[in-house]
Amino acid sequence: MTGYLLRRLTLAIPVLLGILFVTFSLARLLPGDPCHSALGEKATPEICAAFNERYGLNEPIPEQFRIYLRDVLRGDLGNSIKFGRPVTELMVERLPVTLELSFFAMTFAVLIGIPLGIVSAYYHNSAADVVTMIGANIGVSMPVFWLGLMLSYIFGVALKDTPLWLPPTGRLTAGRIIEPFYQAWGLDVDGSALTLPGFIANINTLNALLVRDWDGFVDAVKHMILPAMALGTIPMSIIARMTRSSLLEVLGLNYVRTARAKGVHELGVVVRHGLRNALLPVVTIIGLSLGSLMSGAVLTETVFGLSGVGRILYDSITGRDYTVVQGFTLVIAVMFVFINLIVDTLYAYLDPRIRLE
Amino acid sequence: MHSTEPASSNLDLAAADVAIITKPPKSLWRETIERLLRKPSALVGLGLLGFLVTIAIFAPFIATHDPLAVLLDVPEEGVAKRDAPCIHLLGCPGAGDVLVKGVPGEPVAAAALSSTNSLMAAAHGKTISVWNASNGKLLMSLEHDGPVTALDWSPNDQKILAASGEELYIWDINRRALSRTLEHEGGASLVRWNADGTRFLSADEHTVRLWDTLAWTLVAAIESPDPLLAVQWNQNGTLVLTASGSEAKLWNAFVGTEVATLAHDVPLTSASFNRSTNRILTTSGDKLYIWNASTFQRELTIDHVGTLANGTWSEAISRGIQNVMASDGDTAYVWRVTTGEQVLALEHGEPIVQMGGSPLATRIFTRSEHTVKVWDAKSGDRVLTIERDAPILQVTWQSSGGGVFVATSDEISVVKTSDYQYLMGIDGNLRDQFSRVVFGARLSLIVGLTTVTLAVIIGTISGAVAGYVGGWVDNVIMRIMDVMLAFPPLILAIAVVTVLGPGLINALLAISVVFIPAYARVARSGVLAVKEEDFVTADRVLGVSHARILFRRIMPNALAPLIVQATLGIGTAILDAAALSFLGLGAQPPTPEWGAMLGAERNQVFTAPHLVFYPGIAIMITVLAFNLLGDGLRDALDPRLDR
Repeated sequence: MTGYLLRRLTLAIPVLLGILFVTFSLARLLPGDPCHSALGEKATPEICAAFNERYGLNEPIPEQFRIYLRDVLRGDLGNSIKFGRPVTELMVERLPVTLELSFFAMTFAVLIGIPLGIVSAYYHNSAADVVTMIGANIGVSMPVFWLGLMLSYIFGVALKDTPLWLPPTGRLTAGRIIEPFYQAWGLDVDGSALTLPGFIANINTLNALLVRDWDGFVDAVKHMILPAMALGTIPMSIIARMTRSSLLEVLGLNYVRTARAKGVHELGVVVRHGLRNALLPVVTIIGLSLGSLMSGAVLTETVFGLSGVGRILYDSITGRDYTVVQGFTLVIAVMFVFINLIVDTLYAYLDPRIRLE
Repeated sequence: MHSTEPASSNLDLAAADVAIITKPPKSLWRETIERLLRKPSALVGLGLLGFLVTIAIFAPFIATHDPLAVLLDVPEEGVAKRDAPCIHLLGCPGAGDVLVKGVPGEPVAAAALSSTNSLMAAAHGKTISVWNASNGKLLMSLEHDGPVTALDWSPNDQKILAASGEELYIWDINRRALSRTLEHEGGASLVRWNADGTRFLSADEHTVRLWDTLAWTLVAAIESPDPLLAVQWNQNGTLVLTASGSEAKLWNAFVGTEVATLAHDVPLTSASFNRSTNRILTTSGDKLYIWNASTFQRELTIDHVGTLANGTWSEAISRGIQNVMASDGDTAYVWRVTTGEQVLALEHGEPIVQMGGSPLATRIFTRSEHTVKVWDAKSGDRVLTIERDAPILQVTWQSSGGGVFVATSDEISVVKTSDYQYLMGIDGNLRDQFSRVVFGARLSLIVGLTTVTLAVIIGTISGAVAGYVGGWVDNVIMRIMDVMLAFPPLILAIAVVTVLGPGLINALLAISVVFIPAYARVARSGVLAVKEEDFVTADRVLGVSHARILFRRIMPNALAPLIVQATLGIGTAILDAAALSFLGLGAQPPTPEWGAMLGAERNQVFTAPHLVFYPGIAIMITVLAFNLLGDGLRDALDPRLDR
């Protein structure tokens, strides 16, 4: 196992270097020059020269790449040209939003998708199966942004004045502030957001739980429901379909028949013997979906007015904020590589027949 | 493939000797298609696809409008931004249908529709009732001490000005309360706000009083020896036009001094400003005069046989139309101002008492005591006849031009004058959404097919070469693909589009680039699977060229998964293209692309959800069609999965 992990990590190095190279050159390829987009059209050549000097933009490209590599390895992702703040600081601010959103979306997808898949497989070819599969097919075909807009219309406007109303935008009701847990606990954390406590405090729901602000927690969760539904529908449909086909295959196997013959009750047969073995491909799918969640996050965050990673990436790509583009794509791509690694390892752990050599 | 087991030559059918005759296996393709056609979901997918392709091909015949045309022109006046859709089967109001009605239960003395068409008010007895002009709900009743003789809405719909007894009442509609009372000695029979709501006038038979609404003071009083027959503001509220006897006069609205007199030989029958108040129309005897409103010179005289009255304008300067009209007994005549030639003669059939041109001058109404007729202002055809039992007090055009407000002595109503209906409503740029959705099918199908074709070609070649050649070539190509796969697809596409510049073609290229690794992987594994087969080795021994072996021998055997992947990929490509357009990086306005349509109206989702709903549904159906077809193909090509 350790050997396998080491080899996978070694193999990841060229990919990571490639990612660094791509992010670096993509940022350089973006048309338009960062000086004018940061300082406005009227920046004089002198001001631009000073600007380029400050951000190291007047070095030759290979030198820039070398400096960039050195800084990345030191954990310094540079300063945002537009915001004038360290990229890492922005990350502490934005990443929690997307993580929270992804967590809720995945929870939604798994909690709804797997039971739907089980029902669909168990009552194979019944009306419930047909309806579920039609639903799942429609689910993967829906544009995320459209679903988000329609959900915010249905729950935010059409169901207004009913108990089903949900806030259509934002992370918290305007004016509500949840006290950061480190303040509530009297921890001595300096004001900068550059810290792990700051990161955790930015995950609203978790922070609300930590400070036991129940109203705040309910409010934060309420704001997360619609974005999570919009973002989670595609993974949910994929998970439901995967669970169904995988469970169908397993339920036809001999050991399931044996279990039935032994007199194990149906729930035990389906869940203990069937589902446990059928979940393997589902785990892979969940891992792969985490990747596509980032694409959906750009759209979901746009529709629901959340300032997360997707949103800042879009803004900085179109606003030519080189360092932010580099920093965030790098972190996302690295997360991707490691999620894939974790999924592969988990796969072996769940299925003892697979040996990782 | 051999088709029959050769039967032995000394076959004796009488003997128990058995000849094994296998049915000739069908070709793989035929078998696949037959299996595909047995799957209901694939059939649905094929059906949807056929439907979409038909729509895309026949789009010009299916669409009711030009997808880029702004629908404000003849004869579609009355179109409003983000109009709700109207589905015929569910009953759409047509021309002549009463859209909304208010019945006060007492004789109506005066009535008015607010300038945004959202409220309407009627004065009856001592009360003014206000209705919501979209659903006909009675909103409020404003009570007065005496009978109300005149009323008018302020231009922003916030206030009602009413005359009752010797008082003028100003009601605040938001607070539903009286905000002020002013005194008009002798009682006013007419009240009018100016166009920006900073002034208003009140008039009785001989006096016009001008009021300031900032200080709420009387500015001036204009006396007229003869009874007034017309009182009108100019556009910016600096001049007041009065007509009495044989003179039309213009007054300074700030101090009440006379500015000019337009003298006529015969007593006047009507006088009115045009909408931009640069001209004045007067009728007197058998003549119609057009005056310049700044030099006060006569510009045009139109001679007519018969007595003219009710002179008014039918103009839309933006469309280059400036006509005047006047009635002579039962007939209305329309003249072109630029040339003075008579354009139309509209036979109303009864004595005409009022006429009006629609805001864009596409329609004209004429009114007699019990009948309103609406005419096409270009052809002179009669569009509509509205009959009322009770005498009609007043008719005005809705400011949108889609209907007329008719006040009779027992009810007030808004009657639709146009028959045009929009299946999916009107977008924020006044275009027909249905036509745009129909034309969008073309773009989406083209985008889906071209992106995937491009990605398949590049991906397959690079993947096949990697798999076939192996070694460092394989390593380099597949590591590049790994790097590309490490980026979230949409983020990579956004980055590529930003490098190339926004636009449909660039979005298309960006999506192709993002999809290449998927096909490269599939092609490579397909090649690896058959690379070591005997027939490949045989070819190699025979000295067949590498390219021929790869593309003629190996690839056809690795094609099946590629086809499945490509079909499913079209759906994803359409979704991603729509997402890019939604973000403003793909198709640029005014291209009728579904994602772009959705993106343009996304901020209006709370007020006009239909503008978001229909393009989204269209995207969903298209993607669904390809997904169902792809799933069906996968099952058909791999019978093991068929269940």
